[in-house]
Amino acid sequence: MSQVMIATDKLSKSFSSGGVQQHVLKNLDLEILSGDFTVIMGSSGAGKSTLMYALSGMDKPTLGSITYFDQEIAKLSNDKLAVFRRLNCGFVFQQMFLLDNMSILDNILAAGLLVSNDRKAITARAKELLAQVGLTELIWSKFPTQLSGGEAQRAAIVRALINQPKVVFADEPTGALNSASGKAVLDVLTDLNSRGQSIIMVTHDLKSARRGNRILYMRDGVIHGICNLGKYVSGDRERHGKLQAFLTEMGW
Amino acid sequence: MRKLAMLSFANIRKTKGHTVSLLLMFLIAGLLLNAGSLVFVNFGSFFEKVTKELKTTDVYYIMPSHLYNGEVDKYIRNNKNVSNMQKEEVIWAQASIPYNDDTREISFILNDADKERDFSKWKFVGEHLPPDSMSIYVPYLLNIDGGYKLNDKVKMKFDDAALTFTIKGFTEDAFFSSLDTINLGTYLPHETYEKVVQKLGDKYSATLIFADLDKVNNEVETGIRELVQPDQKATLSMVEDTRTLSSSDIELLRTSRTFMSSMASVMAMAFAFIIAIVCLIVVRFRIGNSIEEDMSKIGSLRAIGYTSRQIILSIVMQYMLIALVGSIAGISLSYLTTPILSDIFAHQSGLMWVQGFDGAISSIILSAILFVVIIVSFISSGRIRKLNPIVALRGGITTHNFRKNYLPLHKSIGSLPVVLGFKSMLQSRKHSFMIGVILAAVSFASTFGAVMFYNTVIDTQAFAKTPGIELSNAVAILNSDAEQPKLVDNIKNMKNVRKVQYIDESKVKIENYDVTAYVMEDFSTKETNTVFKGRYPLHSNEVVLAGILADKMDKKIGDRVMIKVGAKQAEYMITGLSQGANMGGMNASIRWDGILKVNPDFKQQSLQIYLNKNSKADEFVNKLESDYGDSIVTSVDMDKIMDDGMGMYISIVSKLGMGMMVITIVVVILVLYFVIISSVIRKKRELGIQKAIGFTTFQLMNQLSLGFLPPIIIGVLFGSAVGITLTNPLMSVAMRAMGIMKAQFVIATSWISLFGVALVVVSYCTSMLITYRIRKISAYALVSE
Amino acid sequence: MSIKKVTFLAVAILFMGIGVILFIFRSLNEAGIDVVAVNDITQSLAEHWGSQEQSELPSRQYGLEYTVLDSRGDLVGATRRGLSEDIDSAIHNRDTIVDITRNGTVLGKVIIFNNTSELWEKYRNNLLVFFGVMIMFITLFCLIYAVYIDRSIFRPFRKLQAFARHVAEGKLDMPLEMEEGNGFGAFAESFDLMREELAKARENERMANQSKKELVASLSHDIKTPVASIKAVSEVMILNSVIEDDINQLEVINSKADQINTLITNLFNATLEELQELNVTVTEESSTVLGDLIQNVDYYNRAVVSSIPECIVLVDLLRLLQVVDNVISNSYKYAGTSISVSASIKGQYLEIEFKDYGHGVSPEEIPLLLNKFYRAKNAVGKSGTGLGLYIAKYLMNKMSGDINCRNMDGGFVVILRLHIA
Repeated sequence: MSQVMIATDKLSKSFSSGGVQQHVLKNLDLEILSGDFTVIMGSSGAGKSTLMYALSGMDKPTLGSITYFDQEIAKLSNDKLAVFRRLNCGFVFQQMFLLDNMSILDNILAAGLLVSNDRKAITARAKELLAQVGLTELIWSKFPTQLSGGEAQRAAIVRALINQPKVVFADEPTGALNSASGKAVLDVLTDLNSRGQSIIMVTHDLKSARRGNRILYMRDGVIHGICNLGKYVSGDRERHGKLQAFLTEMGW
Repeated sequence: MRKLAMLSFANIRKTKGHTVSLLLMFLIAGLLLNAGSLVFVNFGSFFEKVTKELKTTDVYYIMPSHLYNGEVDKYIRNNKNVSNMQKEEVIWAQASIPYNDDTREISFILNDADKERDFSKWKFVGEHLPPDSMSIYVPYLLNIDGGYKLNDKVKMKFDDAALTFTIKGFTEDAFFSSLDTINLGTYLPHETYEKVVQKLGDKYSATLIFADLDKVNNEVETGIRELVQPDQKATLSMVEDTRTLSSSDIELLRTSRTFMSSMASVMAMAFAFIIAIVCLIVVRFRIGNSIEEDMSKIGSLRAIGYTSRQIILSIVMQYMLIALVGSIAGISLSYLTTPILSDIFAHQSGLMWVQGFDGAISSIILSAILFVVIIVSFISSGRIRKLNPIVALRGGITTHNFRKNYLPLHKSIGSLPVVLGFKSMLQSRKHSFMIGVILAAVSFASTFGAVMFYNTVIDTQAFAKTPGIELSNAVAILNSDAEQPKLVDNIKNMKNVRKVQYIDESKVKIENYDVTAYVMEDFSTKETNTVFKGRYPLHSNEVVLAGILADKMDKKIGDRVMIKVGAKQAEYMITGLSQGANMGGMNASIRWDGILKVNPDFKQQSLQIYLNKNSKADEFVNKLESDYGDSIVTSVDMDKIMDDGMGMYISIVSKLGMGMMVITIVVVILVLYFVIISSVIRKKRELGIQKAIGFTTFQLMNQLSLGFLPPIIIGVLFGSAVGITLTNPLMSVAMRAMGIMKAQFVIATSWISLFGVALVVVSYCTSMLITYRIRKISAYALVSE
Repeated sequence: MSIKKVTFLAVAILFMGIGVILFIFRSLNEAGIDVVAVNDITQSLAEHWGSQEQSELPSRQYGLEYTVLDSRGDLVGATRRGLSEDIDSAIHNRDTIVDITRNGTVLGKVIIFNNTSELWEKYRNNLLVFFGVMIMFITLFCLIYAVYIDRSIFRPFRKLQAFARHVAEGKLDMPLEMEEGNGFGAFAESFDLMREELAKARENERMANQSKKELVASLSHDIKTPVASIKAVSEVMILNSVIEDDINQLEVINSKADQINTLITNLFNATLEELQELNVTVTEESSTVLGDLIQNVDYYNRAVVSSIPECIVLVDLLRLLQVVDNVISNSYKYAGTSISVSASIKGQYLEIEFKDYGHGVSPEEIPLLLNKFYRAKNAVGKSGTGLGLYIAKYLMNKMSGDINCRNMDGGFVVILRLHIA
């Protein structure tokens, strides 16, 4: 029923430093389905962020191809990739990366207006989304530095959603947050996923990983194991046990 | 101290690109300031030095020998005002010689080179060769402007004879070395001189008197004139005449020979000053920025125990070093430019200006630049003192920063990059203001340059009018005996003639000043309006004085002056002041019926002929000569005279104007380089984020460049507007000494706006070019940091 | 607004005001008579004396009003009615009287009307209007300023009052509303920050209390648990336990311990192992380098390399070069045709086919080709040791790959298999 959204073929990413080649991703053949909440886990240095940014068109792979529905993106130019990103991808970063010189609303509109010229519609959508993630009107005109981490991250999520992306990429979205605001952010993401939004999230936090329904475990640049779980249901012990067993097996 | 030097050097090494462009700025500032002041201070005094070296006397008088009788001799010798005198026998004749690709009619004074002189000596300039038969030494002007070289043959065509000489050297003497000073002096070896005397006979022999005066005025000249020319016929300055007395004094000489250089140096100085200020603004900005960028580094220096004094000193030292190196390079370079400037000026002055190293001027300029840089860097690094090390370590962010969210996106209109560009412009107001100010200053300077260029290259009318000469195409001096009205009618009906009218000159005495009066029947038909205040005379009892003359007499409009010719005199009312340095400013304008009151015998003779556009004056003059040669004393091709005379001015000023415009563009590019690079560095994070959420490099380039555009446009608009309104007044001030009270250069608004648009476009392109480095900022680098 | 800005503004307004006043009053000192104009009038009158109608009095452009009298004192003309029409009234009005002379004879007189009183009146009116406008401006300015002050200072204060009441009542979730761009914002914002901080502090207090309770609970539980040797206890527990999960986890602990043991054993063994003559160091390399590698040993440019799929393979590039060199030089030696090289991914292997169009090898010889010292029949008369393909096979195996040969329609094919990382 759910379609293959992203397919990679022998996806590899190498960095060379001082003449020594280092392969961070090795021959990844991977399929990610739309509607999934895919979680990429692994120890640090395993290449999970590299994988995510390659999948999202933020970074170009060294080898191999990435097919996004029918579009091959691995060989696009930087500018084409930028256009691709603005149309298809939303990003949530650990450090939020909001533009400090603009108000929250403007931050969101700066992304939204890239795609649509209908200022009114975009503004309306932005306001609706902001309300949806629990940011009150008072906050809209504030600057990012005036917000708490959780508020800023929720604003960043709204920015990621403004262009109705096919997939939202989240890189350790709770990494810089305390547990309460982290939970709020995760709740927002889970809620989005339950409405059909595809999400790919990198994390090494168990609490975050629990929210996903497909866990990819990476080690040394390859997918070491895949665990398919059901959709997240709060307090499902069995599901939790399965995930834990998987991670134990993976040597987490 | 060594630690501080190390810090400074490390800083310089770290910011190579900035250092290089700062060096360039200082180089330009040093070069312009030094070259400008060298010309300004030294060119005039160089002339002074030459005159002193050659023991040049205050005045000279020259007249055909047959006029110089015992009476004249006695008059001069016994005159109380004459402190010493020297008499020379010379040959004085009009001759035409090839001049570049042209021929020119010049009054030559042929001297015996082997006759020793006590005063008003001459000297060789550059190399010279031993004489052989028919050798000649000619003024340096013929080399630099006339295109002659050593051993070239020069053929002088006199009225009834022609002589060919070989040039064996070039000379300098104070009085006879420039075309602007009527007579050119050449020097023949004794043998050749004798030959020439034999060949030409007595016809051209003349007596040349050099004299020192106690009080330099033209009283003696008037005295001589009365003796040799008792009938006081009208003389025409336009036609140089070797048949009667000619005279000049050293003051007049100085103004005419250093006219161009002083004008140019005033312009160059003003320009240099503006550019230097711009450079310093940029330096100030750069220092402020580097402190901001290095905030955390400064914090760590403070944390490890450097005092703020030490850090400030290291910053001051850093910029002082750059300023020192840059301005020394610029000043040294400027000495290379002096021969070029000298060559340019020599076309007009005939003076070979050799500028040695001038320690005083250069060290003053160097220390001035250093002083300002030190002060500026001290002031702008002063805030380090207030900086808390912990705050600095954190990157200078102290508390919540309440800024206004300009142009909220949900309300603004326009494309996204434009709005974002404007947003960032409004947020960095200091930046924008600085760019605006710099662009205003620079475009003001360039407008000045553009006006000069336009008026000297594109439309020279106004420039030609500036000295105050009537711009007719030809002049015919009618024979006073001829039947004038009929002749005038005939000439008027000739082909291509648009208009004819008399403009005569008459020597009159106004309140004891000898003045040349321009006489016209009706001044309303004059084509060149030189009256800058008041109006031309409408009645017989009215007169217009040259501004310089009025200043000298301390008269103003509405005052009355007494005008005398011979014994007759009458009172006239001043109705206006005119500009123009003709006759050294000793000129006036009177109506024909006005001059008749004091000189009933006055005859109108000098007919100005105006031709239709695009008709050739030389052809017309030839036809005139052939048709009416008998009734015409002489005719002059004014177009040619104007072209010859204007040529050198035009070449000098146009070069200056071009130079200004080029330097403007260079400075603008440099300034933009500074500002944009630093703002790209500062906004690295924001640009990375924007890239991540899908902005293309081109959009970001546009966003940044557009943000700079409004202050650039405002600056250019403002600068151009000031340039448009102030160029003429400024030029009037600069050229006041030259008798130009009200410069009326054509301010070609279309040209200036074109240049303004060009400036904006260049700025935009430059910023697009510079911001192209944004492509290197990768979104991935930002997130993976 | 900072005091700097206010001062700047005040100075600017002051200078502007002075400028306006100077501009308005600039015409004050033009009360004298333009001598040049008078000269023009008298001269023109003299020139046209007698030949002119009264109505065409000259030089009206100067704006001077005057009367012309002839030498007898009779009126010749006037620019308008109501001017002084004889000498006495002219003197009374302090008018200017000028003779009209031609060639020394006096033709008549011009009386230039002294309009100073009119000028004054006009001037006074101007002044009145100016001051009226000025006062209106000042009033307007004051009004605007009053409104501004009310909006920017008093209104926020009123809001603050209500806000303070809410805070006092403990309603900490009622934010202080602020207008955009209010200069007072920073001040009000700090109050709002204070509210937020208060609310946060309260929440923190609650949380701290809760976690303290939890800590006490869990510690009391942990302290009860004895601490023992991991291996021993786990082994004992494996024997004793019946819960499968626990056994699994204990076995993990056990096996990890074993793993360490194995690792040490391996290390020990590794040192014992003799170094092979043909040392192969396998690295992960991108398949894109293979194309270049083949070109490098293809001295006669006979190989046609089609695209190689991108992947990362386990390979020792130096040794692979040796292998490919052997394959290609064999082809040169025995076939001498062009070689087409193609690559594809087959499962875990990247297969590279080298195909030539020679006669190949007889089918029965094929299995022997890779043997030590084996030389095929067609090798008669050609130099060689029969070791090349044997070494190639050895090397490929060391790279966890393989080499195969076979005849294929009209040619001979060598297939190199490289293991994909």
